[in-house]
Amino acid sequence: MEQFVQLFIQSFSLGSFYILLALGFALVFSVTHILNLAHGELIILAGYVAYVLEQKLSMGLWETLPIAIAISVVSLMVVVSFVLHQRRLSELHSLIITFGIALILQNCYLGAFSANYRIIFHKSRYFSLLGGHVFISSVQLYLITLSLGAIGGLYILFRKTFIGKALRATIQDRFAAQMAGIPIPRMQLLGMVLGGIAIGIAGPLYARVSYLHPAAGIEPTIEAIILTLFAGMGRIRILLAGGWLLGVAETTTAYFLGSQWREFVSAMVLVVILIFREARSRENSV
Amino acid sequence: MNRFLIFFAAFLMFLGLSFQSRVAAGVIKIGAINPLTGKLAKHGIEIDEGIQIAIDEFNEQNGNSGMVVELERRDDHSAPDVAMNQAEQLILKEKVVALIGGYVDSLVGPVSVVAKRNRVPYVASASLQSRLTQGKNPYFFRVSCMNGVTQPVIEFLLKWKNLRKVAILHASTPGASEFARTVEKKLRVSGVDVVVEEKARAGQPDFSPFLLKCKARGAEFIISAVFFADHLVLVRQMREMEIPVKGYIGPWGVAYESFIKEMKNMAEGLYGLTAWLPGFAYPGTEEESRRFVELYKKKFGRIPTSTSMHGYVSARVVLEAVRKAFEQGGVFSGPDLANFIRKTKLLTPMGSVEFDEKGDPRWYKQMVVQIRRGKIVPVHHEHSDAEN
Amino acid sequence: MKQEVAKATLGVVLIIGLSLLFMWKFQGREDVISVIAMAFLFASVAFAWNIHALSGVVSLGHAAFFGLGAYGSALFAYYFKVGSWIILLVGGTIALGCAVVWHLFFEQLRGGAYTLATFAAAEIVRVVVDNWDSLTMGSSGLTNIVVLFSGTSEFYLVTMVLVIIAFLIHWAALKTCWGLQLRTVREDELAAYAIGVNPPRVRMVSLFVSAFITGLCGAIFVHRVTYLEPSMVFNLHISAMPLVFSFLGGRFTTMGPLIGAFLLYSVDQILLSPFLPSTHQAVYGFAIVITVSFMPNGICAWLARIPQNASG
Repeated sequence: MEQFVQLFIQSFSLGSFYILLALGFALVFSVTHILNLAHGELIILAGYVAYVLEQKLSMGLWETLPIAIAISVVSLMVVVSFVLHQRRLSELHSLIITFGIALILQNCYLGAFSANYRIIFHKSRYFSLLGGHVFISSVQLYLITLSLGAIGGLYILFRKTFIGKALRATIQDRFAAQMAGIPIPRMQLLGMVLGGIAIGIAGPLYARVSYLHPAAGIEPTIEAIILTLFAGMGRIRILLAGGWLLGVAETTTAYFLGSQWREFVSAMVLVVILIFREARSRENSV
Repeated sequence: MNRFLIFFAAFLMFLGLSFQSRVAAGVIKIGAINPLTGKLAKHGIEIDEGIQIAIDEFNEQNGNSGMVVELERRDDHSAPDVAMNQAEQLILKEKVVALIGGYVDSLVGPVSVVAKRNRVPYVASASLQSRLTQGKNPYFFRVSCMNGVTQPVIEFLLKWKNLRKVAILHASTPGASEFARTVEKKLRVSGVDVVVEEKARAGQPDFSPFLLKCKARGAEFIISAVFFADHLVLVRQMREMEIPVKGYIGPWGVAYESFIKEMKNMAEGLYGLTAWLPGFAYPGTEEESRRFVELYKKKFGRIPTSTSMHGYVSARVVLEAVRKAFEQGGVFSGPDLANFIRKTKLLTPMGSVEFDEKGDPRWYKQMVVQIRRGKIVPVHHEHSDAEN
Repeated sequence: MKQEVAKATLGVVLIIGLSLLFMWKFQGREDVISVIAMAFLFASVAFAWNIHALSGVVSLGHAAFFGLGAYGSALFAYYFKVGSWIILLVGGTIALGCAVVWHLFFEQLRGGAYTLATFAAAEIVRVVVDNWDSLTMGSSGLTNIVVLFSGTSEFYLVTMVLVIIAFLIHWAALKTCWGLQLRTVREDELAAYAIGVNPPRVRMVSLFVSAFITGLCGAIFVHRVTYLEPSMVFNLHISAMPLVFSFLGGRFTTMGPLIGAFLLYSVDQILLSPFLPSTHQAVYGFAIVITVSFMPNGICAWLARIPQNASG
């Protein structure tokens, strides 16, 4: 019984991890239609910043977060502004340009931080439940609460504030929003800021959950793409559901079938849901 | 029209730059192909650096005799076609007399094919998969082999008192898979029960299902044939979830200073494998080992690792052969060099190096080490009496 | 139309001519010939990918076809001890089989959903091949695979023929009647239905052709490299490469994918890597960024001064 509860906790913290990784990417994509393939590299950058701060100044998680967020917002703005500035822009264009940027960043990290693997050693506190047989660590709690908090915060922003409404309008139909008088560049800026905040939160956590390496950016980028394409543009709550679904699918598969079947089952789940969703929307529209 | 002209000019430039480079008289070139960027960069760079030190040391010692060896370094991008292209380029454009290096078996294989086709010897630094030496390639040699990694682990585990249940996790690479298969078979035959046996893709952020299974099935020892980065996540989770195992052994990626530095006290008590440590050289090679560490620290500002030593030794093998060829007339043909390499009898800090007919090293054996109070300490070593 | 056919013939003649010129010029420099041959191989994959992309969808799962072609061919040779070129066709056919499955399940999907589904499909294939030890040797892979192309010149000529075939089919997918059908389906599916074009059929044909050629390329690849393991062929790099090459070369030009592959692949191998063993990655990324910034429609489009708002 305890095993199941523990598995449950593992699934949700993993899912929350994926959600935090994907959030920045999804926000940028929804608002600016840019597929930022350098997303993972920006997360790694935030992670490296937190790592250096922790090593040199012994700063803890909460102290490094503001700085990591600030740097992520700035770096994201640089990347996105550069892409938006292009003469001709489609989603594929942004994909390829940011792909090139990602390669440049990877090489820069190799030069700046060497190829050594780095982690942030986090002295987790453990909370035991169910009479001491089930554990949840503080990092896992951070993951779950931060992802819930971020999604919750976005929900409040989108539904309860005026600026959130304007942002939603921009996501749904840019031209109509423009006609309604919404300043698109300002909305894009807001999207970048929000995306940067998400990246800045993800980075330091990534360094605590996984590891930092110049070539490590590809993994978060892939997770982000999977969840974002799955959720569809602007559907942040589906992102939440998708992340948890993947977390549960992967963890239970790894436990019952073996770690080697992890990606198989999560890929199958994705495909099945995509097909069903399409079939259902066709039924509804006909 | 202008656009075509620009394009054409660039094209001509491209043609021009691909021309053969001049080889100065008396200079002997050796090529090294390793993953210098990408996921395997850490170990690829370590091997590359070990090779560089060997070349520097050789040139310093042989400056008077007129022999100068130049190293051409290349990145294989962890892609087999790139590794092959670079190998061919080194042989045909740079006219290297031998190739060294390589970290992953799936890249070492294709390079050995190129070496055979062009009749240039290739000494691989870190190849393990048995099948690579079964293709009758007289130009392929390697300083490491699977036995040297599986034997010490099996011996160590079987010496462990009352070991009944183990768990094995391995990465989905040919080398790790073969390791896991071999170890599992030997353990089962000796009456040890392998309660969990799993394969995991490298780069996962979560190994908790595997660890929970180990706990549920009462595994006493975890054998973790994964790479450095995965150990970071796996050990951290193992400590967090307080999985009650008596020991954890990681054949690759644990016995590194940088691992201890990152993991701090979570690394305490972990077992690993290493072929060499600064301060624990093969008897009779202490001076060479010390010099290696010094030169490495001076050039790269870091302490060398066992992986660097593999690079160093593979380069030394080639350099010895080059020296012998020089002494006997200065003809560095592929077949001749390969013969000299085959007759290698070299004493190195990693052990005695001799090759059998297939190109495998006869005496390669790593030693089991343990991390105690932040230091790597040999535990099961043939040459010392430091028993557990 | 006659003008287009003439241009296509000119293209073929140009490829053959330049290829033979290279072969003569770089005699004794087999490394350059090898690189160009590999560039031809990946250009063929890029052509194949683009044929499918011309139907209006972006696939990120072509590694599945490439890998299945490689495994199909290598395993067929292993189990049935066949050493002739027929095994390449076996590889292509197995990739085609996979495409049939794709078509059955993914036919209804569009846009981001389709891309994600193809990516997931490649993962599914990879895991199955990786775990099915008894059939595919799993993670251990295959070693010492039958060598079909003993000489570099032979390999070079084979890939040259391959790229010419791929070029011609790609040309057809742009400039012939089929090309117009693809374009209609790509731009407005509903209108396509209205004028009597059958979008599912058009998409299916482009997928099948694309898959078969890609599978063939995978088979040729593995018989050159002679070593095989799942992560070597079923990786994102193989799926993303044709996209980058086609895009950079010009997605709606006949020569685009070839130019993209030739420039990016050969330049990196021959020019960048030797001189910059540790920093070539950054230069490569930089080249991509600059190229897309200044030539957003691709190099060929820039060369031919195709206007900005044309097709796509």
